[in-house]
Amino acid sequence: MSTTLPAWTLVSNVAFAPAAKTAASGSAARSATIEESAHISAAKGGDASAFKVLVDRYRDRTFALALRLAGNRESAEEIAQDAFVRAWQALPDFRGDSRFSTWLYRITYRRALDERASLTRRRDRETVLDTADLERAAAPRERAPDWGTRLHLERLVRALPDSQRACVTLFYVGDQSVEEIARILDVPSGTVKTHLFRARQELRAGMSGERSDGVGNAS
Amino acid sequence: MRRDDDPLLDTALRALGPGPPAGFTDAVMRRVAASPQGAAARQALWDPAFDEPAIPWWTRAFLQPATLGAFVVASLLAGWPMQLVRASKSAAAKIALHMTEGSFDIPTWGSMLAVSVVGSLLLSLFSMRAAELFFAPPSSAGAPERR
Repeated sequence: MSTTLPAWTLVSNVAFAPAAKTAASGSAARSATIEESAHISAAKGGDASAFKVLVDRYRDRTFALALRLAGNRESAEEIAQDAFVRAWQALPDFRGDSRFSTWLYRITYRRALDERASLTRRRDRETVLDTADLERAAAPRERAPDWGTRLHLERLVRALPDSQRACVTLFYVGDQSVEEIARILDVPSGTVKTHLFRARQELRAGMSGERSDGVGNAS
Repeated sequence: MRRDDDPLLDTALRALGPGPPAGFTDAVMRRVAASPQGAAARQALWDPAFDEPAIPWWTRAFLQPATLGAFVVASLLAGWPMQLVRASKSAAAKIALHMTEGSFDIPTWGSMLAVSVVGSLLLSLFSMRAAELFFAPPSSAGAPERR
């Protein structure tokens, strides 16, 4: 089943994203925000155990972002670790103007850019988008029935241009709004919307082709 | 952009995939334990070659102890050349006298050495404190730092 919507609906929906996100917050989200603020305040004062709570909370998403940007697990692990360490070191400067996740992902994104620039300087093109990591990483017992579909989608995501891949990852995996992604990437909000729209078009086209071909689950 | 326009696509995109390796958090916390936080970290991480520096290179150069010392010597040479020549001749004569007569006045030499060392340290400390007080590095929050 394909859901093809007119382009104007996709673009207009982006404009309503912040309101929709705010309306859906609820008391549970507010409690989580207050709790997180307490951990951040404690960590600012040098409480490493409070910072460990933040690390555990954002570990998976930060690593997923780094993996999508770097393309291999070794670099992603180093980038994610460096991002958390730099966040710890710069935490006293965190003013709370943005969400902690936005600030952390910005550090992660910039660190990933540094790593890419470093690789380019060393003429070591390890930016091969290696989806073999995905196949090796999960043991067969961990593979969901839609494993083949997810693997195909991951290949499609990794084939996107860097900017679109970053936007898609921050939007879905990082749960960032368009404005927050714009702050992280240092681009206008309109550019983010365009990247997301085009990326979704590409991915939808690629997934539609997979569904019609019957490419499915891996055994 | 609503996340439910294509539920299948959105659900698949939201999947995180394989997580970090085991021990990731412990590795991070080990590095955190060894990392400074706050002002010390900002100074350690501040890389003027990458970030937009708060002070230009020629201002930073002026704050170096060696530069200040060079300016002092240059000023003396420009303002009181003959006095410097006489003082150096006098000092050379005294040194030669001590060396030829074999008398080595430890208190005199020791005090001169101590004054030189202490003076250099004080000059360095002054320039570093001046840099901290008047030219604090920019906030590194969210900003990349290069090694």
